Amino acid sequence: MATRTIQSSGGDYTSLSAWEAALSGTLSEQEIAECYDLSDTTKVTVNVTTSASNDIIIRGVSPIAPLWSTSKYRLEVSDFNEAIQIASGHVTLKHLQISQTRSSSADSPTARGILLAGPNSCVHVVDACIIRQVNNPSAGRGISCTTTNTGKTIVIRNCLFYDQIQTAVHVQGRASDTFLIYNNTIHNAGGNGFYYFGANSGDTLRLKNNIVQDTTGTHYNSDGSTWATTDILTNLSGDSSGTSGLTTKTVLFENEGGDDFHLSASDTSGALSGGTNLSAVGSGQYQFSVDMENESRSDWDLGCDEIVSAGNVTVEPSTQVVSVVQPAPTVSTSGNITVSAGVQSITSSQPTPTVSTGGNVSVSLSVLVITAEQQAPTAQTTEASGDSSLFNEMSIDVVAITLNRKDGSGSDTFYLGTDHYCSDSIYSGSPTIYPLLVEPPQVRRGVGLHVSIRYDVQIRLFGKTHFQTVGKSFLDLLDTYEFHHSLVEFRYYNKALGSTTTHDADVNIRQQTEIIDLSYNPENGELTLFTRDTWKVKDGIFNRYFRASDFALNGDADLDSRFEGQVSAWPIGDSNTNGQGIIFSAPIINSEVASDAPKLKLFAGNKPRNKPLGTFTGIYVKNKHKQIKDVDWMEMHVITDPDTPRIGNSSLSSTTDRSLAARSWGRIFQTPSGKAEVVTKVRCYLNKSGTVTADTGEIKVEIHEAEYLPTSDTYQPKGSALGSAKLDPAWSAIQSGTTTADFQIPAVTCHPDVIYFVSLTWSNTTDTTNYLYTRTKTTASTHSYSRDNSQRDKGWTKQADTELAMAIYALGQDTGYDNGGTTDDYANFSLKSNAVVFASGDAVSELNDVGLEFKLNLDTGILDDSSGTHTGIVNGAVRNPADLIHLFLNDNQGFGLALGSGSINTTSFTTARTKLDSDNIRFAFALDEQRSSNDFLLDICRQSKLVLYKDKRGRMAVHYPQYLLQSPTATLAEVKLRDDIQVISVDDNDHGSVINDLDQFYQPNALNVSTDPVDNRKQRTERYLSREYINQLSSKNSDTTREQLAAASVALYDRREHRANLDFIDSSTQARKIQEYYFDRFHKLQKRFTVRLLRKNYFNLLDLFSTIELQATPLPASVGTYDYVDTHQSDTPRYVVNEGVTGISWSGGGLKGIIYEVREVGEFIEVIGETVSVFNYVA
Amino acid sequence: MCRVLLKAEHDANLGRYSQGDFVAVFNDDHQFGRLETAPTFMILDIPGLDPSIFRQYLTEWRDRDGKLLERRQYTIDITKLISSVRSDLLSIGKVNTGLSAIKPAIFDKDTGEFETNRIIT
Repeated sequence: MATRTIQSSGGDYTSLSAWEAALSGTLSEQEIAECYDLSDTTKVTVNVTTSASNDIIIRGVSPIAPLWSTSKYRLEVSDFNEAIQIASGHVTLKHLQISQTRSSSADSPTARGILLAGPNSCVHVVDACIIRQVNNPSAGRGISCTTTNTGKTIVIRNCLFYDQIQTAVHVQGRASDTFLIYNNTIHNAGGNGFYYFGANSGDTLRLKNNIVQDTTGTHYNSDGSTWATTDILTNLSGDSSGTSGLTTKTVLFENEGGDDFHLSASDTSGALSGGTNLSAVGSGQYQFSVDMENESRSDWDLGCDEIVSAGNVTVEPSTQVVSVVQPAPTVSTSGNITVSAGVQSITSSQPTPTVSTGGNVSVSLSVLVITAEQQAPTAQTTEASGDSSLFNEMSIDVVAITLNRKDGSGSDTFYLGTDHYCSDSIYSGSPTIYPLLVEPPQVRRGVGLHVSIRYDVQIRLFGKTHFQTVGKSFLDLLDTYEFHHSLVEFRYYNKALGSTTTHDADVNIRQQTEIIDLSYNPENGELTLFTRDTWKVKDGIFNRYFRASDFALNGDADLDSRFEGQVSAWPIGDSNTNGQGIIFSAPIINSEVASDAPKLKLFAGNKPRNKPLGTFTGIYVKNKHKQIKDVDWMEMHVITDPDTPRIGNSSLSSTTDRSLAARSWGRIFQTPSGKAEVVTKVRCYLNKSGTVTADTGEIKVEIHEAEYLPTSDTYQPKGSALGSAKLDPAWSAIQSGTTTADFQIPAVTCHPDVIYFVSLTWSNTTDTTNYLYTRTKTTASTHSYSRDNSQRDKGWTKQADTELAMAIYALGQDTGYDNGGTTDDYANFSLKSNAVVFASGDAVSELNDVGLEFKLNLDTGILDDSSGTHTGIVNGAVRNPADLIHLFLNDNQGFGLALGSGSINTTSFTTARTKLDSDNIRFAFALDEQRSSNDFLLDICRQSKLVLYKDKRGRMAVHYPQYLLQSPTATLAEVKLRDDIQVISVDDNDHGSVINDLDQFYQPNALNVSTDPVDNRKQRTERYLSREYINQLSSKNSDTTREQLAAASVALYDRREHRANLDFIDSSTQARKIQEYYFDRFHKLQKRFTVRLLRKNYFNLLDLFSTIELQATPLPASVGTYDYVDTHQSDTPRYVVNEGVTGISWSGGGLKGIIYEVREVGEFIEVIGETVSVFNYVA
Repeated sequence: MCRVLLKAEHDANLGRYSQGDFVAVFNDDHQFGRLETAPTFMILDIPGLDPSIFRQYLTEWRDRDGKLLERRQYTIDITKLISSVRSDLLSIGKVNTGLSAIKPAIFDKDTGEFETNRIIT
């Protein structure tokens, strides 16, 4: 038998269609599909070869009611064909909800709910299903079975059909067929209710206990053909076609208008108790005794629903066990309840253990077990009210082990316990539990300061005991299954003897582990499985390498070879208060020359493929000339049109020619206020007179810092040249006629608010016949500078109102910033210089090798997707630490660990998000170093005080600690619980946990941090912009109270430092909140306590992070008042009364704490917590 | 983006799936189940595509009498995919690519022709 789950997340498949597609063409074992809450929209065809023993069961995981539920599995199809077609031989459909809403007959002539089209001798059972809204006007039937194959057995029972355009049940006899149609309810069919026709030799029709109402056509209709056997009884109709006495009736449902087809207890149509008992029908007639909801049929109401009747409950002496099962845990009667001698137990299942009666309750002397359930203290026997609760409990540990087949074909789950339990005996749908456990395993879950503590759990099994249906011992399974990495789930149930309880994954699943090893002892046949509390995500390197494969997908081949192995940034979060945004290194990822224009492409941040980055706010360039200004990075002027010269004009009209043999020429250039510029090109007017031959010197442009000489009111070049470029004057293109020449400058990073001097010189000063010349123009208020080449020592003189034919170009944006959209792995920013045209035809140089480095500034980092999957906000910035962890766990687009949403406790993340938002704690940083996933997650938790852990169901969850414990989850008072509580230990924490001198730097200075090893010498004050501290002498916030607490702590434990910085945070408000949490929690030595309790009472109430108030005599007296414990009264014990029982309150104490570890084994649960009383300091 | 589940294994039985057949189509936020993976299935992620377009490829292939020939009329001919996409599908069982890389490989078993813009235009 292979059972697979169909679930929206966390299961084997996410659609029935996929489950069926994965089946082999011929089954070799029974295949069961268990369908959980899911809207499955893909049409299903079941078409594999089955047999009576290797059959198929498709079932909802729990019974459904005659009322469509959106919290159960729904096959909701709008398809050309049926919602589900059964072409296999042996198939059972149970507890399914099916709709087929395709409404166009033109394009969907065969759209039905269920088409039964099996081969000869097939057996199809449709049991307890809802088929509704089959809307096709020409073929909109609920169930259709008209295949020509013969010998079929078709069972349709306990089903509800409503709102269909055509006939609800449409069946045709083909020879030797058997149709068993029992206890169905049909409402509002557009055709007939039932139509049975075309009977042939040997065909049998048994039609009983059905209801048809509000249906357009004949409610029970046939073509008049003769069936070999007919068995038609007790069928109610709204028209005259039903069984005599049950015709022209109107059935009263609970809420017909609301499609709730539970029978009303007020119905008078005859449906109540009007049916034929089918619990003991003949062989082959598929006897049954429950209704759609799996409730026992006793009165045999018509239709799919049975009403549990009221009346006296009498327990006869021969009865051993009386049980009242859910979902009707309360038995009310106006009559008497009589319990006679010989009864061993009377139970009522959770959660409502009340058995009430308006009459008397009498119990004979030989009743053996009467237990009142403690979880419902109101259910106590009192003579005044006449209520009583009689209970005999069972505690059941179940270990579910899902073993993976070695052939890779799937997995199978085995359920083991210390005792044997038949299927359905623990809860409806519970599997068979095999008694292979030597002892109940100890479940152990715990958390440290930031993450789970991963405990190992051992499971001891009877390794050589064969277990039923499997036919092998557990040890023998090693031949077929790979044990390593197999999933183990620990469950616990507490239920009444002879009754069933319910299964709630959030309650009954206690832990999930993974098998890591096993050992077998042949002497006693004991197999021990060693399992570990592993996380759903595997430890891996959170590497941010550039990978060639990533970029190939973007069609960016340039990146493939250039950046293998390089690390770059993931921008995350947004700025909280300082408006700085996120600044990070943007390496050059492409340099090229296109149409003679040198271009650069900068890497503007990694990102998940389906999430863009935030908005570009600025770009910084690294200072290449620190001799001018000693700063590392300068904000760069983002020139939107680098094809327009920053200053100047290289082709002046109305000009005067100026021989460069006689004079050199120059002009000044100033950057804009506060912004740097990168000069990349100077264009000059340049022409020849005569023939300038080779070896006649060089012509050169140079850029210097300019120095102002106030006496002469002139600028002079200062220091050595920052950048220069040369041309050969012999170039033929420099000749008569208008021409310009481009000088490609190797990128001078010009500082903000600095004036530069740009000169044009020719080294040949002797040839005045054949010479080069430039030109100038008279322009008011524009000054140039020139120098007599024969008197160079005299320097440059100002040429007032003279404009030199020279243009200066700077680096600007090409296409600018591209946030990567929803398809790329990264964002980029593209820069370019104005095209450089050399008359000589020499190649233009790329900008890659001239020492340029950049940083980018974004307002926000990674944005959420269009569904707000991680933040709850469409395209919201991922800045909340809980959202960031969720993104990191869930993202499958390159950033995260691709953990499915079913493996994440979404509620915990939402709760933490709300609390973090309330405390205004959010991140802004760039992850630009290689980090392991564990290290990264730990750092997120440390800087947000989150705790990342694995919940009981094995899902990843987060917890955000709160300060106050005003409403503890539970008050555990010895005087109340008496022997049900045992304080195992109360000890001091390790002294090493105390800290009392906290000093945290935060807000890293992104413009003063680099990967340059020289930066390691920098002080923290240089690398961070801000700081928070608390110590015995002072605090940043002048918090004298905490300073005094620190002093008291130092007096007891000496000075203990805590120095971890807060790299992800850029706000004092946030940094202070985090720092104060650690101070408040750890400046004082806390106590750890261990308390043992009855598991049945607390397994659902207490969990990790539950807050408890413990009051017990072994505790030292503590500050505060408690319900049941008073501080010591010397020799004067005080008495308290609890529920009528007198207790003594003496010399006890109390403490408040948070549970950080839970151990469960057998009947007991132990909780280990830590005191948190000092948290009360902060209101 | 839509997420497409393709059958990776060929089943020669009548009315079953062939390699490359469409099994189910989901929205981009869909998380597949534990067994919806290689070697049984392949996952195709196509950015920017409305899932309802590919759902039209879930049509069964039946003859004129309605007899089921194969489970799907349309399939992706793996051999017609560009090498990088094919390589990822066959080696790791999933690929994220554009519609343009997939469209030429969509094959209509009924007409014996590759996709000719009948469905995807």
